[in-house]
Amino acid sequence: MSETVLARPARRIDRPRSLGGDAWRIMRRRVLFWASAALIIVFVAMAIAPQAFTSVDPRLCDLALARRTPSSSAIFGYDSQGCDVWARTVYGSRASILVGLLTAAVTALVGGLLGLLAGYLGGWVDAILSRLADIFFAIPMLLGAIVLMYSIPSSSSSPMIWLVAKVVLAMVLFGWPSVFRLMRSSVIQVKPNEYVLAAKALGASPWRIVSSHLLPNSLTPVIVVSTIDLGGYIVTESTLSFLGVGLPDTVMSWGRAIARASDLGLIRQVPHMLIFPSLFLCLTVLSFILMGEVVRDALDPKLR
Amino acid sequence: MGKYLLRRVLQMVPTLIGATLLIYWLNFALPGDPTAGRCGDRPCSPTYIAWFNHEYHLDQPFIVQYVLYLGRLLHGDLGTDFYSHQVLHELAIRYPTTIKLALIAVVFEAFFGLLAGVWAGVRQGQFADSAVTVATLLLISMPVFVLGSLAQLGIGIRLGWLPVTVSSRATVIELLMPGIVLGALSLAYAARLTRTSLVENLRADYVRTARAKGLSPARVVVVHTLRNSLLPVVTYIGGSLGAMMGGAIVTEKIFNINGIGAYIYRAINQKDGVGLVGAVACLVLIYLLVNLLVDLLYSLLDPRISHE
Repeated sequence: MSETVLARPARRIDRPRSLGGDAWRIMRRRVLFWASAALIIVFVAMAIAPQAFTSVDPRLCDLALARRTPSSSAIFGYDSQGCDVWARTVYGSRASILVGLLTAAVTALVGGLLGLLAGYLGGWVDAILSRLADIFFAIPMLLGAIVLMYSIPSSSSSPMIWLVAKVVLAMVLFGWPSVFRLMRSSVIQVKPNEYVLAAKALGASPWRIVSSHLLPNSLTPVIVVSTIDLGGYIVTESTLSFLGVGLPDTVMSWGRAIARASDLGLIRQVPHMLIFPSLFLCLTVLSFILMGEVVRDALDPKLR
Repeated sequence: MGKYLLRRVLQMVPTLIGATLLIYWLNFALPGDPTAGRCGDRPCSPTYIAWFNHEYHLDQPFIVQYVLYLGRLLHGDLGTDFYSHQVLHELAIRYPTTIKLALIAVVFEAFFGLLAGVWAGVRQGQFADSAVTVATLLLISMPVFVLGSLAQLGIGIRLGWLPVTVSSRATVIELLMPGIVLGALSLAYAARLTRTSLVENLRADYVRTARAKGLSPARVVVVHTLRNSLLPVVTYIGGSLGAMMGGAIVTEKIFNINGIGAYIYRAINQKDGVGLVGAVACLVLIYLLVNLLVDLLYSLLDPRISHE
């Protein structure tokens, strides 16, 4: 009887904490984590329900109000077309955040899967996939994306999801090799470990080896890099839109808003048209990058 | 060394072929009409389309098209653009300006990036370290076009310190602000990389030995640690050229610089597919060559890398 009583607390201490649980304990003590999480929540909420943040219709523009500076009726002022800058900035968050999240997710999925295949199977599969990755890696993302976006025409009447998917596709095509290389090298590092050999010797199926040994032990760097890169994808999307090959004017986006505001005459006369979308864009990118760094610090024991 | 060089060059061949194939395929095999925009707003006449298809071998099977294209590429023929000018000739006129811009950016990036990185690394955990971390994070989260427009507004218009746009002469003073804007993002990464690598090396045994010998802190950092810490930074600065090529398109548009980036921007907006693809293919080739050079430089700088 007394034995079981003694054993109970001991068991509680010995229970191994998972990597995720461990990371969570570290992250929740950091101010940066809470700050970036709060910002991300605000921006994602804005993307999902922009009408909760503004009662003004962003497409309702009145030329009589054009170029008015910020006031109590429009806290960010009006742009050169007389549209409410706050409303347009709030509605613009949807495109950027959607593109960033989708690109990060698809890149992680495609690059991760191919990297897993190449690292696990080795041989000619690895050779072919690695050469293929080299080719896509050799083309700087923005340049490749410009050519791709230019080559697949879309009319401005296309639905938003198709326009977004096109941008995502362009970035995934030139973004997957970095995730692929990361995943491949970490699978190759994990594969020769004794516990993997033991599982193989015990007759575990390839599926079991991959799903319960290789994947959990090599996923960490992919998660970290994908979170940090998310901010970069938002930057690339807005740059493409700024150059006129990304999202068209019909989709409200920060890239287009800044492109229209960056005309020299307008910078001089209506600087608030430039400053507010830029501020939102930078804050969003910053919060995702910060989150990625906090996650990296928590997951990567080497940096502790 | 000769063997290594040869192997490295041979390794690049499939990448080169693949990359040009990809760009070629993106432009001519995708659903878009390659003659779109070549005849102004009107659709092209059937005679013109027939001529265009013949000129660019679009009536041949894809692989034949590509081989012919590659042959032209090797002869320096990037096609003729919207204005019936040779793309290569147009790029040749513009490249000195772009090189000048890129040089200013790289010098700025390397000098201030290293300086900030070393400063933060030596004062690890102190105020300087946090200040550099915050500053670099802010720079990283700022897209080039935002930084460029804000610099025009702040430094150019409000303060009036530097010219807002660049004239056709493109003097160094005029290119200073665009160059700084172009180099800023890479500067932030270079600073962070220098800091991380310096901090890592400062923990090494040989640094402790050097300190124990009573060497001055400056000598320990500069002579013993920095040489080893700079290796990844050199590679990074070389590789940052790829990001700069994209950035140059944006910077040259914002500051009205007549360089290769502006040529690409014009090609995009006038739907000049041949000009766009020609210029991009040229940039990708340069990027690959520079990366090869950086790799070779790296192996010269670090004798630990085996060439066998």
